[in-house]
Amino acid sequence: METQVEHTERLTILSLSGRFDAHTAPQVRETLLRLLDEGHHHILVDMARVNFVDSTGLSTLVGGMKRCRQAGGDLSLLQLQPPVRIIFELTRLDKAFEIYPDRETALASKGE
Amino acid sequence: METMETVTLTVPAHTRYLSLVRACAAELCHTIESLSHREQVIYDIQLVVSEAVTNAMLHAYGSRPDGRVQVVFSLLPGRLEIDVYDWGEGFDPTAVPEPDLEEPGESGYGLMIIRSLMDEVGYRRDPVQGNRLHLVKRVGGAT
Repeated sequence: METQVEHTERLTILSLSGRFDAHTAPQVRETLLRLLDEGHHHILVDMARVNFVDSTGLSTLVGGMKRCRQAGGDLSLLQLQPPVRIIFELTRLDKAFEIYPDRETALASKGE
Repeated sequence: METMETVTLTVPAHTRYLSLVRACAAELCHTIESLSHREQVIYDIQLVVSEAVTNAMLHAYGSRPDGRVQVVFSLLPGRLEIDVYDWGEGFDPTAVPEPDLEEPGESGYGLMIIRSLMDEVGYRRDPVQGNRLHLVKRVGGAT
């Protein structure tokens, strides 16, 4: 899985690409923990190029969201592909996360 | 008498093989001519198989590097059966409680996904013949 990190004035955007499963989730978890350690608690995860998410991927994102919120920030999601979005709906995690259709909407909502 | 075609795939218990298992499941589903909602069902089957095999790799074997997981796909008229075998400690996903959807946690979604997307789910512990997770999906008309 490819990961790319960008920083705006107040936000960190983590772009993921590929399959988010039990094999690749540890890499994402490590990246999220590093960002949190560095003090980045307002994170957008761009899922536009993620074509598969399993329960390990979901758990990794929930863990990141909880840690961000504990630190006074949040972890939000961008651009879920339709088959991936269905898994969020199935587990009702679409209610737990802020999910934005595109980057412009997310940045505007976050006051950027 | 029902005709049945089976495909068996055995992989080492390492998560690097998950994509191979999913690819096999997807290709097999593509051979089912009567599949309705084809792309979504194929995605669902890949997801369920991935969840089941992940459980076997991570929970049945723990950190043991020598384990193997066997997946048997059986195509019958109107149904796809998937049996996932391990020879480790066993992990009965049907005994795992459902996650609390009001307070999202960091585990428990795998079983929920399996139960939601499959029509039948069963588990049998058998260290000799292999612990077996049995999954059934009805797939419309004849295969």
